[in-house]
Amino acid sequence: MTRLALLALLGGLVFLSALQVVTTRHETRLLVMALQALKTQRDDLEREWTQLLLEQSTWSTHGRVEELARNKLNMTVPRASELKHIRS
Amino acid sequence: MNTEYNPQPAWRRHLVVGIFGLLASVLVWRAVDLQLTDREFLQDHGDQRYLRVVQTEAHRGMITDRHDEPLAISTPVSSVWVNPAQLVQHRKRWVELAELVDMSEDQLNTLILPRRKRGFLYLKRHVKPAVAEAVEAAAIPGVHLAGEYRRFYPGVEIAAHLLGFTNVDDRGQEGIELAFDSVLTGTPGKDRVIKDRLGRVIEYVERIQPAAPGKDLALSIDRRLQYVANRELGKAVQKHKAIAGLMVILDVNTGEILALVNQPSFNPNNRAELKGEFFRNRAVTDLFEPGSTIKPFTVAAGLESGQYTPSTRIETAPGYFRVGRHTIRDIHNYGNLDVTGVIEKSSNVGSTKIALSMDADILWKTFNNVGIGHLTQVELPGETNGRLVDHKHWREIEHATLAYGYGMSVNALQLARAYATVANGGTLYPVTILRRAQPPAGVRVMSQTTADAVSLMMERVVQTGTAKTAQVYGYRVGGKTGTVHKNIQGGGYAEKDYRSLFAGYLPVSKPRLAAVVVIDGPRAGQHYGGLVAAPVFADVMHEAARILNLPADAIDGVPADSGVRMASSPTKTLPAGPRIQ
Repeated sequence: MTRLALLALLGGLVFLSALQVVTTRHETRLLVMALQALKTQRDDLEREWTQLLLEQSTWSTHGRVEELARNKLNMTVPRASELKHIRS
Repeated sequence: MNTEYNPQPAWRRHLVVGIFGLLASVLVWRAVDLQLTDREFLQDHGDQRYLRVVQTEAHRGMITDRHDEPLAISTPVSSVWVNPAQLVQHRKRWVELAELVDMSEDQLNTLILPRRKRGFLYLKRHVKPAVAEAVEAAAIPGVHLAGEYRRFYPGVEIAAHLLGFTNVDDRGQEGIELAFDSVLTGTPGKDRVIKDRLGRVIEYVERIQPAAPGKDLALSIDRRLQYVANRELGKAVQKHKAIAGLMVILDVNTGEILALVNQPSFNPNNRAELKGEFFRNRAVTDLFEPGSTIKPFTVAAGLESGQYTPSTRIETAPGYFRVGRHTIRDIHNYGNLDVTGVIEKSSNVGSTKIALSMDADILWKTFNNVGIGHLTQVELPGETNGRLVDHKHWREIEHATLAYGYGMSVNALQLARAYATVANGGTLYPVTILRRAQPPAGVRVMSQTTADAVSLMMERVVQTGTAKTAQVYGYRVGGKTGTVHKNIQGGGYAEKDYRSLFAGYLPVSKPRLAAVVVIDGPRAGQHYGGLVAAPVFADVMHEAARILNLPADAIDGVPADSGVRMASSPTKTLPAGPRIQ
């Protein structure tokens, strides 16, 4: 009689553990998918970052800045007579 | 229905049981067979149904200048590839496809039809993001996008020769891109994963190879100096209708190359325009005779020998001097000069007399020590050696002509290194194109006294001698011009084909920058180094000194608005670098 009960108990435990395996596996897959999504996001962000970096350095090209400073903002380099040197 | 029990014969029962038993054992045998003998094959095929190897892209490292400003960046782009075998089954959509990738239908036919059995074909590489989106939206069966990287050079032509470029597969072809290809290139990662029916990754099985992105590389270049040097050199090459020009700027205390420019330049972003003959980085690949720019070292040898002081008198009259069957000439008869005067006036006769009055090995040692004819071992592809014959093999005429820079050859970087050595007081530092974390160990190759004396003489050259056009307002400048007749192939010198040189440094009181300017083949009338090359030096250094915030050391030395070359014209506007340090 006790043996039968033990068997039933073990059988029950095996069943529970089987269920647990199924849930864990399912959760793993969800997590892997989340990881995948994050990786894609990271790649996208990296892509955006390099493009922004490229854009920034293109906008800040010396040639362009010089052009704008001279023609749009009417800036000039001070003449020698306009300079004051301070001795430290 | 009351039927009488009629027992069947025993053999029928045995037969049925036997048949069932046989069937069962066949099944068991098959199972064993599958499990044991064919297991590997089957497992493999089973895995192939859902196990996939996915690649993680690894981008090429960035090349930056010394202040981490990008000079070369890889950015992801898409390439359109097709599966010809699949695509030929959808001929109806070819018109649409042709329009998307901007090709004619004929082009598509000739490209795809011969390869109809294949499973992969690049249709168009590195398409614009808009095109990639359109291709994706069209969803034509057998047409796919692949992620790749494309190299961009935001500075466009300012450092084209130095950086080089990559090919369509992102491998270095020239310059830094080639020299440091293995550092810059990344290793794509590989993972084995399980994918579900919808192609989503649901499980990572193993990592076959971890992804290692390419390393970033910080050069010793200062983007702002590079820009200014490129601009001014370009102007000069155009103005003098020269074949080519180059400029090198060194930090005299670390041996770092702050700018290295070649003209004419090219746009490395546009591969279609790339033509082989322009790629040569002349600063390291091209040799030339240094001419008069070597005279300061002849004088240095004289000072080191102890036979001369800066004020020793030398008779250069009548303006020529015979060595064996050869005559060495000055442009004018300078009469009786002191050693400083020999440099200031750039007297061939004077420097020859100095050279011939001392032993060959002293002269040779001085040249050799400052690195004439020795590789700089800079990390750039294709550097040439230069040539300085050992003094044991000198004839008298060679001993004489070497004194004013003929009969030897150097590249621009070697000459710049030699000038940097005088500028910093006699220490030779190894030249590098990479940003140094710490100052390198230098080698003392000239005494401080000699270096200082030569330095003062070179300052006189700029103050009152042949290089007045190299003056920079507010700074004491030392330097020497050179005008060299170019070699003719097969021997001898061209009568009317010149190379204009200037080598110099500033500020003399506490030197920081040394530079060499070479203008090859000026054709617009002027050819003297003082008129062609020295102004480029002055224009670049004026801005460089301001950009680097070098303290002025000649505030009272040159009066304001004295007619000295200075950046007073409105064309000399100075853009602030993105980050001034």
